[in-house]
Amino acid sequence: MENAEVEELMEHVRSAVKIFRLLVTNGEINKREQAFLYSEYLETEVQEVLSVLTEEFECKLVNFDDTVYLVPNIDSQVIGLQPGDIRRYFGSNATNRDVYLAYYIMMYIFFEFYSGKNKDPKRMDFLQVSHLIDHLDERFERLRKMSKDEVEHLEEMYSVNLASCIEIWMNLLVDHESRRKTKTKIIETVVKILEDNKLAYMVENQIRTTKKLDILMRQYYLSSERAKLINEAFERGEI
Amino acid sequence: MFDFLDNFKKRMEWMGIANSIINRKGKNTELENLFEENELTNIIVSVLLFIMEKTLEENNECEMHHIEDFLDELLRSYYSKSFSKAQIKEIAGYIVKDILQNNGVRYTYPVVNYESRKMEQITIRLIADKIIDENNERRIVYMLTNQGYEFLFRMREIDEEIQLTIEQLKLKECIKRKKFSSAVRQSVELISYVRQKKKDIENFILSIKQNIHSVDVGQYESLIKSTYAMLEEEYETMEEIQKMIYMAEEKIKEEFQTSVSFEKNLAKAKAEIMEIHHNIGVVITEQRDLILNRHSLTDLYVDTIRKSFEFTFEKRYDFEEVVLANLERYSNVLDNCLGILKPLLLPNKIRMLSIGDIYQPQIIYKEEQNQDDCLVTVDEYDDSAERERLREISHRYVDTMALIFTETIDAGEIRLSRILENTRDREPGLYERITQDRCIFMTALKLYDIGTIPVQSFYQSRKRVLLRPTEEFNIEYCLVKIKDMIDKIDSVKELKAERTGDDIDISIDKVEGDMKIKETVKMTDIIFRVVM
Repeated sequence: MENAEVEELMEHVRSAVKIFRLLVTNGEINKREQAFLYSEYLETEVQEVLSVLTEEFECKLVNFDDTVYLVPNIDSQVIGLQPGDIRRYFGSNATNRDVYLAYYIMMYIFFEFYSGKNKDPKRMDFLQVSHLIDHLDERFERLRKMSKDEVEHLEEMYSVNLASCIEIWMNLLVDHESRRKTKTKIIETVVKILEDNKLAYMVENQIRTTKKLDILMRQYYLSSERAKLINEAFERGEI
Repeated sequence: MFDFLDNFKKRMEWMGIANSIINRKGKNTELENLFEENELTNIIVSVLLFIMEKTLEENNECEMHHIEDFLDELLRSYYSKSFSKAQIKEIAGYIVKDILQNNGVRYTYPVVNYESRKMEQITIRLIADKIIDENNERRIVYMLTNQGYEFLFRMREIDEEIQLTIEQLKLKECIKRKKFSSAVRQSVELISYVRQKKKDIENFILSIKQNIHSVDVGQYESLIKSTYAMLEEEYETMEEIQKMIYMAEEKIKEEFQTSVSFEKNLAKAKAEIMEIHHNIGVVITEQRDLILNRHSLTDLYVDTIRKSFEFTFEKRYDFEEVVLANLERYSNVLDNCLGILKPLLLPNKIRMLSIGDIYQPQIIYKEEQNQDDCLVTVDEYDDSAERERLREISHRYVDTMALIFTETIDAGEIRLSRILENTRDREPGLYERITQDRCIFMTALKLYDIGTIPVQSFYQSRKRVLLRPTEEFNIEYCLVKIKDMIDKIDSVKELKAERTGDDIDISIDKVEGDMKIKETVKMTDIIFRVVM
C-alpha cells in the first residue's frame, strides 16, 4: 500500500473513532452542531470503520433527520445500562421489586404514547401524571383479579413476583408531603431516568416525549422485525 | 347524486367540533357538578375566545396562569361563582387539558364522505401547545389551531376568506368619507386579521416540525393556496389604501393652513390619520413577511414529508402484546428485561478503576449490591425474608406508639427526652428496639407533623384499616394494634404532639457485624399531651 493510501485510510479511521467517541459520550451527533463530523459520517469509508466498531461494541447506528443515534443492542454487555444503574435512582433501600415496578411503569408510559394503530404510532402529545396513575391502578387491579388458578400456575412456572410488585403500588398513597415513597414520586423518578436519557421530561405535571424518543420509536424500536429479539430476551429468563 | 350534499364533510366538521365541546369525553362529574346544565359549555367557548384574543396580541403568549386569572374573573363577574385558587386551577386544567386537548390524545369524529361513499375520521383539535425552554425552565403556551380559529370566526357567521377584503373595503369607505375615527378602528381590525393569518402559518410550521403525520396534504395545499393567493391580492390593495391615506393626509395639511376655525377638528383628524398610517404600515409589513416566508414553509413541508416516507416502516409489533404482556408474565427476569430498554437509553460505558470514582462519595460496599450489576438471582425474589423485614419494622412502630401512649397517659403530658430516659433505665431491650433505625425519633416527628390525633373518634368510626405490615409508619395500623395493649386507651380523646424550645442530643451505640457504630441524634424535643 502506498504511503498516501495509508495516510488516507488513517484519516478515515481517525474520523470514525472521533464520531464513535462522541456517540458513546452523547448518544448522538447531528448536522447542526457537528456539521463536519456529520459530513464525515456520510463517507462510505468512514461508515465501514464504524460498522466494525459497532459490531465489536454491540450496538448499531440509526441515522434519521440529520441526526445519528447510537443504539446499544439488547444483549450488549459493553455499553448500555446495567440493572444497578437504574437502582441508583431509588436509593440504597430499593428492592428489586421497586426497580421492576419502575421499569414496568417506564414501559407503560411508552405504551400509552406509542400504541397508535394508525400510520403514526404516537397517539398522544402529553400524558397527565394523574391520568397515568389512574390507568396503572386500573391495569394492576385487573391483573390482581386474575383467577387464582392462573396466578398459581404462573408462580409455579416462573416464580413470578408480579403480585408483590402490584402490592407495592396498590399500598402507596397518590402523594404525600412527607412520605418519600408515593405513586407520584415513583413516577417522577421514572421520568427523571427518562429525562437523563433524553427521552422524556415533565412539565406542569404532564409527561412529554422528546424528538429523540419519537424518532427512535417511529423509525426503529417498534419495527415488527424487532419483536422476535424482544421475545427471545424474555424467554432467556425463563426458568 | 344529491348536489345539496356537496362538501358535507366540511359541514360535519363543525358538528364534530361542537360535539367535542358539548358531549365532553371522560367527564369529571365532580367538576361538572359545580356548574348548572350547559353553563360549562359557555365557559369553555369563552376560554377558547380568551386564548384567541391573547395569542393575537403581538408578542403575547397564553399560559395556564393567564387562563386561570381570566376564568377567576369571568366566573366571579358573570356567573356569580367564587372558587378557591386550587379549584380554579383544577377547572382550568380540566377545560384546557382534558376537554380542549382531549388529554393529549387525537380526537376524531366519524363523518360520511358522500363522494367516496366511505366513513372518514375527521381530526378535531381546537388548541395546540408549545413548550418554551428558557433559562433552564420549561413552560407551556397555548394557542388556537387553524381549525380553532376557523370555528370561532364561522360562529360569528363571517366568511374568513373574504373577511380581509371586507375589512379593507370598510376602511376605504371610512377614509373616503373622512370618518377617521371609524377608519382607525378598521385599521386595528385589519392588523388582528393579518396576525391571525400569521399565527395560522406559525401553527402549521409547528405541526410539521412536531409531527408530520398529523399534517395532511390537503390541509397543506388549501392553506398555502388560499392564504398566499389572498395575501398577494390584498397586499396590492393595501398599497392602494396607503396611497389614499397619503392623499387624505396632504388634503388635511392644505385645509389646516387655510382654515383656522376648524383647527381643533382638523388636529384630531390629523392625529387619527397618523394612527391609520402607522397601522396600515404594520399590516403591510406583516403581509410582506408572510409572503416571503412562503418558500421556506414549502421547503420545510416537502423535506419533512420526504424524510418521513423514506424512513417510515410499515409493520409495527403490538407493544402491549410483545412488551407489556411479557413483562406481566416473566417478572423474574429483571436483568433480561432491562436489556429491552437498552436501545433507547444513552450508552453507558462500564468504568473500571476510573479516576473519577475515587472522588465520588464513599459508601460501605454491601454484598447484595455487588450482585446488582451482573445478575439478579431467583433467591432474591423469595418473599419470606422481605415479609419478615416488613413485619419487624411494623412491630417496632407499634411498640414505639404503645410506649408513647402509655407514658403520656400515666403522666398527662411528657417530653420525648423523658420517655427515652425512663425506657433506657427501665427496659434497655425495648430502648434498643425503639431507637433502632431512629424509629422513635421518626415516629415523634410524624406525630408532631400531624399535631392532634383524634384517638376516640378514630376508634368510634370503626374505620376499616389495611392490616398489612409496611415499611412506612402507618398511624391507623398502629392505633388498631395498640388498642388491646393499653387498658386506658379507650378514655383518651386526643393525643397532641407539640414542639418545646429545648433540644435532644443523644448518642446511640450499636454493633453491625464486627463494626461498632455510634449514632448521634440531635432534634427539637417534643412534648406529648393526652386529652381524656
